[in-house]
Amino acid sequence: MAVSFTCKAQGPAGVAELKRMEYMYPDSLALKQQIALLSLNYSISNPKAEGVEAVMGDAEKYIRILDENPAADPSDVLTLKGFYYLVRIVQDPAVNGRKYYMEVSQNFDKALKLNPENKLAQVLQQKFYEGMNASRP
Amino acid sequence: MKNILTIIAILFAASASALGQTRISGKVYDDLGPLAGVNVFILGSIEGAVSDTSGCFSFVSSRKGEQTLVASMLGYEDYRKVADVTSFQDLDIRMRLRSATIDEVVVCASTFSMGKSYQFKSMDAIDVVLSGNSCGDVVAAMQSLPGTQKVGENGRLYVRGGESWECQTYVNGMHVLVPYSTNVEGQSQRGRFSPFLFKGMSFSLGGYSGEYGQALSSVLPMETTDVAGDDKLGVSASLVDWNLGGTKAFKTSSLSFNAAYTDLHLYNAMFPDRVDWTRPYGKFAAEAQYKMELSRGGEMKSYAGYDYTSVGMNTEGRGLSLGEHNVYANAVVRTGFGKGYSFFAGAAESMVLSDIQGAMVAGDHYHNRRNEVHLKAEIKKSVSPLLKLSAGVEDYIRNSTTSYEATGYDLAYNVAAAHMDANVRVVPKLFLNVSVRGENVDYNNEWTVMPRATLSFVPGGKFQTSLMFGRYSQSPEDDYIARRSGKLFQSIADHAILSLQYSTSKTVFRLEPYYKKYSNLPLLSGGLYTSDGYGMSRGLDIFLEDASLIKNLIVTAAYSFNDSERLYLDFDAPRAPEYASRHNFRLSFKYGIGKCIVGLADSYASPRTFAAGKTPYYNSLDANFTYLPHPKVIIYASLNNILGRTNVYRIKPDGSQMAATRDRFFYLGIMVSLKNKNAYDVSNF
Repeated sequence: MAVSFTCKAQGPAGVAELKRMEYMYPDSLALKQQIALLSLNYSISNPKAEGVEAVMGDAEKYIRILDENPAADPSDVLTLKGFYYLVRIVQDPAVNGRKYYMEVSQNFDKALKLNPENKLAQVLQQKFYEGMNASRP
Repeated sequence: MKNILTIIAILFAASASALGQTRISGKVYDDLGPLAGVNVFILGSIEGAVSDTSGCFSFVSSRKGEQTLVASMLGYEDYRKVADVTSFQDLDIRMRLRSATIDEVVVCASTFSMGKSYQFKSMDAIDVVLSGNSCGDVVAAMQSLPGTQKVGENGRLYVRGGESWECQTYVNGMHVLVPYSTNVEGQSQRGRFSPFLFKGMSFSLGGYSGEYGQALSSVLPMETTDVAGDDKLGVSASLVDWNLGGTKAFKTSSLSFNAAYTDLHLYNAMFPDRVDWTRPYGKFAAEAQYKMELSRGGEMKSYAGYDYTSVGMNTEGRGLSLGEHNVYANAVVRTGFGKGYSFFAGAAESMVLSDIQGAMVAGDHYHNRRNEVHLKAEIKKSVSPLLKLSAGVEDYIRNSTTSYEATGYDLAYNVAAAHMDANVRVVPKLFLNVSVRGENVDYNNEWTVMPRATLSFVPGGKFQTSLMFGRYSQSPEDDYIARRSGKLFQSIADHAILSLQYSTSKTVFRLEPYYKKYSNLPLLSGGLYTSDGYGMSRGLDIFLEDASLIKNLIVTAAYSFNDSERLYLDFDAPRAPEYASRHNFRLSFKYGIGKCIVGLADSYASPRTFAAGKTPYYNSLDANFTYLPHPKVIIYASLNNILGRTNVYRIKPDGSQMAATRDRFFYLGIMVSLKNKNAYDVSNF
């Protein structure tokens, strides 16, 4: 996943900084990908933090924008989608585990089918299967 | 202390000024109070800050002169102020909620949606399989919802006082002529599709849009799963059925197959019932799917399925033998084009061949062949976030041949239809769907025009309410068309529904009063059918599902009250139809304990009235148990009617009772994934 923009801050502050850049570069797909990725990285590390739903809302919004843009790399978009549902499972495994595990699995599978070299999808899929095996009832 | 802080603040401001920087500060509110998490910044720079829990923000800017200050947050309209940067101090910023667009709102009225695509109820194929007494039958699982009625002698879907044929099934948008597997009377007819075929089911009990026709009461649209990302192979076995299936995944397509065999010989030998079977129920089914992803997010899906059912029994002094072949195939294409356009086209073929020996009297023979070709095309356009349009055309080409002893008929007719839909956000929080559907039936050359409208108030969050009006039509059954007197018009049902829904992440409550007025129902007069029949159905459906009482416990309660009356078929006077019971209630509990899931459900239906008397009330207490010993194995068991109550389904004309053929039904099955990367995924599709 190509990234042209970086920010010093992390978490919600970092997301906010990237979103300010987005006002300057509204057509940049890389920025939108980075916003979604940073939002999801924060949320998976802080699944119950105050304000995490707003961060997840940002992730969902930018994933949707990317999904509707034919210029966006489909493998990257599918990776973000799988990541989004993975975060939801981490937030509430008991309720969301069975609800979203197919979403996670299918999105990563499709992402890797389109681009077998997609490192992020490989890593996240591996983490997902490790988590599934560790948490099975 | 206060003096020290004041001095520090003055020094701080002075140093910022000395460096040519301006401190920008203020507070952000919405209608409810201080707003945290708002991104406040100078447009064209990355200088900014995020408001804290008290709504306060503060940051330093190096910009000079006139600048634009922006405050932005998901769900709110952007706030902008253009002024000299030095004036951006101690600001009071009030944020306004952004009204949802059409795409962001899902109107749930009169619809129960299952599958990942929908937000109302998270119920996937596994939930259908494991729910209460469904034993993997989609139709039986739908009967846990309010608005449906318990008609045990055939097990079909009866909705809000309507006949079973008033509910129509669609797969990927294409009509299924006969969605049930056949059986003898007194035995449940199961849905012919495996729930694992589908990623989503959206059961609508009324008020559906112009896309759907030829359905007086309800529609059950089901969407098959998408292209599989990985190979699969699985088997399942139980006391009554055995299944083998798999999928081969390619880069942008997948090919799936499934074969199933059902046979009650062994089960009846172990647990005899009250029926003198000459040939216990047996069914062989095979199906295949090919799915392909197209460019621009499009897809092509095709499905073909065949099943053969055979059953025989001694009953009422004759030997009854039934055999039925059922073929269904469809292919659909969905793709986007242009700017905001999407296109759908599909074709479906349904064919059913039935042969019954001893249908009415000993030695007679009944034969029926029914065929339908359904063609459909639709175009959709998102004009703006506030307006979506769609229009479509379709054609049902039907023929039917029946012979019984020396009588019979050959019937062929065509139903052509067109529809237009508009979804518009009238004002913020208020959404309107208007549609008009026109149908022409060629045996009458009759046009029926059906306007429909749904007005929904969705203030956001937990509450939504809708008001629906609409006209719906349906051609009478083939037997009635073949024996018509003059023109036999399409039957009409006018719906009026009010829907009130409250939902949180763990609780859903829905209340829906409704009224349906029927006209042009087929009525027997002088041995032939006219369109002089009529009727009405009114009632109230209540639904509650809650997962907040106790961790891992889901409680579901569904109650339906229905008062219906009609004059149709061979009725002498208006009366309640025999399939209708005034009160239907179902309460279920599902609890997860470690590797197990335990379910308990009770179903009640008030007595049904027949010409020769009234049945007792229906009641069944059911339990089910699921054990997950391994990520690739699921073991499931259920016992229906634990208390062994003998439920009476109908009162025959001679006053005798038709009871359930067995008081209890025990099911034990195992599902194994032989090849599947996913855990607890026993779907072969």
